[in-house]
Amino acid sequence: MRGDDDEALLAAVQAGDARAMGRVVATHGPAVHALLRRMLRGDPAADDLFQDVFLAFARRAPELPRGTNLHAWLLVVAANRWRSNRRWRLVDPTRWLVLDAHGDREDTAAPFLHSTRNGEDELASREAVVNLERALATLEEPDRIVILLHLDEDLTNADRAAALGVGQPAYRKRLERARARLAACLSRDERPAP
Amino acid sequence: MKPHPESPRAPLSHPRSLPPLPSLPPYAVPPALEARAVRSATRAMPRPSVRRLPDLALALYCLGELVHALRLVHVLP
Repeated sequence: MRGDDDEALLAAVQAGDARAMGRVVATHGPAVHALLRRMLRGDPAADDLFQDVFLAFARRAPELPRGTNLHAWLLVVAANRWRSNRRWRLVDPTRWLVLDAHGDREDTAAPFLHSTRNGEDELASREAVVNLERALATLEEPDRIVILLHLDEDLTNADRAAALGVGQPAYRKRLERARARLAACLSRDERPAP
Repeated sequence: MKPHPESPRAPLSHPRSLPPLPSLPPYAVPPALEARAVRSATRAMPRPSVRRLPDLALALYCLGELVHALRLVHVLP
């Protein structure tokens, strides 16, 4: 069970077990990486923020209480790091020097197009994932993070609101708006080309 | 009274056109990135202080013994 595993892992990290830190990164890294990659789409800063999240965990681990949901804790930190990075990007004058800001953006759906899983049953669900990934990529970042946090079933609404730095009522409003925009993106993608 | 649509207490309206969303798979972390994150995090881990405690106790004990010995040879009052 993830809760028990987390408790054992946290205890081991608090005792200074370096191998436990490796297990934390191996267990929770993919979810943290997915959030940052989907938010920063090809920006190498995603890798720096990934490293930063686990650095923050290493420093704060001694004071984390037993029973901490590591998945939620790490994702909240990742979202906080992304928010901070976004604020810096907004005031970064060098971004105006890039002529084609979106030209080198990676296709976040691409890894799933080459999935090793086979079978027609999975084709439709894989296609749904690809469509969702593409629609998410067209959303503005503030809407995208709301949807990504909403889709993470291991998070509570309190976690999601904390990750966004807002209260739960504000989170619900943002979710409603983001869902409406996502619906518009998805229906636009499904519409046949003229 | 019906709450204003912008009020936080307004009921959530789920757009009919939004289909049930699939869960998104996690991303595999490139081994080099994972290794780098583990290395930096491990380096940042605070060292357990339990090993320092016996050293401190031993130093205090030795100091006490030294003071006691110096008193015996009347170097200290």
